Amino acid sequence: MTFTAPLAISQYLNSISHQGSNLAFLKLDANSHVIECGSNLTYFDVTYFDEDTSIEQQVPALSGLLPVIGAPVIIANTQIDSEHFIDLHIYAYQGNQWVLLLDSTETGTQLQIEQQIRLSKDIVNEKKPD
Amino acid sequence: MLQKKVCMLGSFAVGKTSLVRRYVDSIFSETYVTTIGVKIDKKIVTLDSTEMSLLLWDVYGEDSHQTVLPAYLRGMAGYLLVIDPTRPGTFKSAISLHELVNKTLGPKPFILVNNKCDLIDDWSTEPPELQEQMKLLRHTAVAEMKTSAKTDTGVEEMFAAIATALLPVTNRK
Repeated sequence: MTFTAPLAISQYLNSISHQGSNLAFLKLDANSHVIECGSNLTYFDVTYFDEDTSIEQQVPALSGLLPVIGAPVIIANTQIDSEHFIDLHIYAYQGNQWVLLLDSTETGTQLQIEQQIRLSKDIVNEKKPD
Repeated sequence: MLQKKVCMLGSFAVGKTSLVRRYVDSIFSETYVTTIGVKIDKKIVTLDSTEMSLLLWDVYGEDSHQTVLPAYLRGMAGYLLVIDPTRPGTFKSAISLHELVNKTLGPKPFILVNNKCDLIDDWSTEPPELQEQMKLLRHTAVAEMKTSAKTDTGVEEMFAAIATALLPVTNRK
């Protein structure tokens, strides 16, 4: 599927040196209502937004995060099911709030494996008598 | 409907994920699976005839390699500060996370949770050098509770306690 990213997204992706993966975006108005969305939403199991309802009511993960003023808010490695992770990026651009969902399953899975090994060792070490 | 974000905070492997799984899905597993990032669950509770949607942010635990990033706390209304008293090191993490919240958001209601009470015979008291800080933590907490996700002890009560603390005064009977 060909996707031509709006400037707000392509500039942002360049700024974080993002290398291609599945992504979806939401453009929100000042009241956190969706005014545009696109790219690979179905990958993230999102197919429908009610334009009359705040996004925070529809996507619990965004509750309390909006609006973003100043530096972008990044919630890395949000586990959306037993196998998939996403990085959530929220930033302001020209009066709108932009929400990017970037698939991070590959890096997240690897990180989880490494962390599991490291922390399992730490627990064993903590329980060793001095 | 009222919607409140509640974070599970604490050192790694204190049982944050197990408490959420017990509360939301009524299940428990002995297998330790580390959390990276965050898992978000939603549960609707009814308090004094007021419905509240609790958004439970099960945030990765602190360890020697990583601290919790302030972004994960954004919009948080309250938190559950979880300790595993069988591991004295988890007291220190609780103190530092409490300080992080105060620094990032200012004071927020929290419950101090002593988890794994099925292992109460193995519990230790806090290290002497942390006693003053733990005393202050206990004084500041909405409540201190004992829980076990394994035996389903105190779990429902713990979430009800934080939800009640977040209920606006006008909604309380």
